Amino acid sequence: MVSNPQDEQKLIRQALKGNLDAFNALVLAYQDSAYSIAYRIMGDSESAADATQDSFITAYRRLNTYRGGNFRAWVLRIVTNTCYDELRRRKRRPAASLDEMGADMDDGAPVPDDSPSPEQAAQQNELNQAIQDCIDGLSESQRMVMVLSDIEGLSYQEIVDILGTNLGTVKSRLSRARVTVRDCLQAVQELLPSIYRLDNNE
Amino acid sequence: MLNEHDYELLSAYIDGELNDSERAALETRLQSEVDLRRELATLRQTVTLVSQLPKLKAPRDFTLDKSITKSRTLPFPMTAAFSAISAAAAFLLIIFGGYLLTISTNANTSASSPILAYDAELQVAQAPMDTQNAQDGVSQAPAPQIGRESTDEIQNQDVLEPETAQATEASLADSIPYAIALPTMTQNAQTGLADGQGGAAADQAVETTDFFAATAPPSPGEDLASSAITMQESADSSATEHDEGAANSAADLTQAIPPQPAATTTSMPTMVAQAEEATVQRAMAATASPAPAMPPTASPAPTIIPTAVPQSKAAPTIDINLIGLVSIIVGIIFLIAALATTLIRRRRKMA
Repeated sequence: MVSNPQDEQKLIRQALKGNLDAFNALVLAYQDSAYSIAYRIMGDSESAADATQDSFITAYRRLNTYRGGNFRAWVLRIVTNTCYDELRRRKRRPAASLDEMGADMDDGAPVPDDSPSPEQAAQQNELNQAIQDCIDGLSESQRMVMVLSDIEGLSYQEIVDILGTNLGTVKSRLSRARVTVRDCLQAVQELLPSIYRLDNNE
Repeated sequence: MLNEHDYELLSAYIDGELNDSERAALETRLQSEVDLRRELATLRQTVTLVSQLPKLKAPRDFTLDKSITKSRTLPFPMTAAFSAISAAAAFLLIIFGGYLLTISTNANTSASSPILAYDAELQVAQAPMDTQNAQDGVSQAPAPQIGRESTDEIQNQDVLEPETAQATEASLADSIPYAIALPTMTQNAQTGLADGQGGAAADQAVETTDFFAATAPPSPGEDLASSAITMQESADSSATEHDEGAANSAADLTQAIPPQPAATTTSMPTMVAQAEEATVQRAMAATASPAPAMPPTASPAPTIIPTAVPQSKAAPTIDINLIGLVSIIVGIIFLIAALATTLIRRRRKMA
């Protein structure tokens, strides 16, 4: 794992010289973030794994275009662009293949960081699926901003760097995304445990 | 009722992204506006719900092996850079070829170009000069056959004038030796006939030879201008009332020389040399026989023309057409290559 920025820059320099092991150390450092973002944007684990793998291959081939700065933001930008390209490709070819349909049907709960009790896990999965469905209903641009901000916890400036847009656009998209997801969750909150219900009454 | 800006303020307030003044203003409003407080509360709950989604672990390692890094390396002709370069080259070649063909077509079909307008101007100016020669020959030369020859030349000139409107490339080359040789010949004829002495004509011919020799320094543009000025002086010195045509032609040549293209100006020294040779021949003829022998000096111009035509203009016209055609063909080949490689790349990507 990459313990500090100096180590990260050293690994990047070695990777630029063609050291694949050094690049793989960077992959191990960021693959969880990359996969998590890909999953939230794509909505299923198979597509997320493909997008993550393609992103790291692209990163290795374009490593010479990295001009310093936040390497994590540079990697996550490639991840979001890869996901965006795949979503656009799906729009052009809406007919899903049998493999993709099978992947959707077999798609179980994503692997969380820790494993609670089965009952809690089932409840949590239900909630998570409801939230994920609401996020999936957002436009691509709003979904990406919400994933990066509210799930990955990135600052506005990091989101600006990753998406290559301006601060005002990020604020506007995030605000609309939150209002849309709130309305979506209010519509299905009867399905959720009472502690998760959105309270409209003060 | 909240507007979009209010929701942006609330969203940024939740994330701690407002500056001090914005935050203070919003907190003042929150104390007095119930709707604003309710919206803030529900949005906060939403952010809390979304942010508690678990951070996912990668289901497997996404490290690369050497086989992945070496695969799918496209050869240069299949790259986007090659397509872009091909498309740019195609565009430039087609434009260049089209431009050359347009130039060539215009030169062959119309007299609107500056070169051909210059040609037409010279030929029109030439007509009164030849006419003047013929008139002088009729009035001054004693032999009747001289008058016939001059009349024939007038008729030839009448035939020639309509051709000036067509302004072919050959006539462009023809006109230049005419314009240079004719004032001298006019002067030769007038001087020789007026004096009636072969010796004087020979002297004039020697002066003419010197005049042409003086017009052969290495800088063609300045030489043409100076020779035109000299010609005008020669024409003025003839001092007959009909010499305005010759004077005007020399003046026109002086004005027309600066925009003269390189192909024409570079051919001038050759023609000047030919004119010089012809003038020496005339001088020898004038020395051998007196006045009756002079009218032929009015006709050496046609002997200059055929030698000047093929050397100066015919070959470049063919080359321009050929180069233009080849440029367009090569440009189309580049265009096809760019389209084909783009299509192949797109199909590979879709696959």
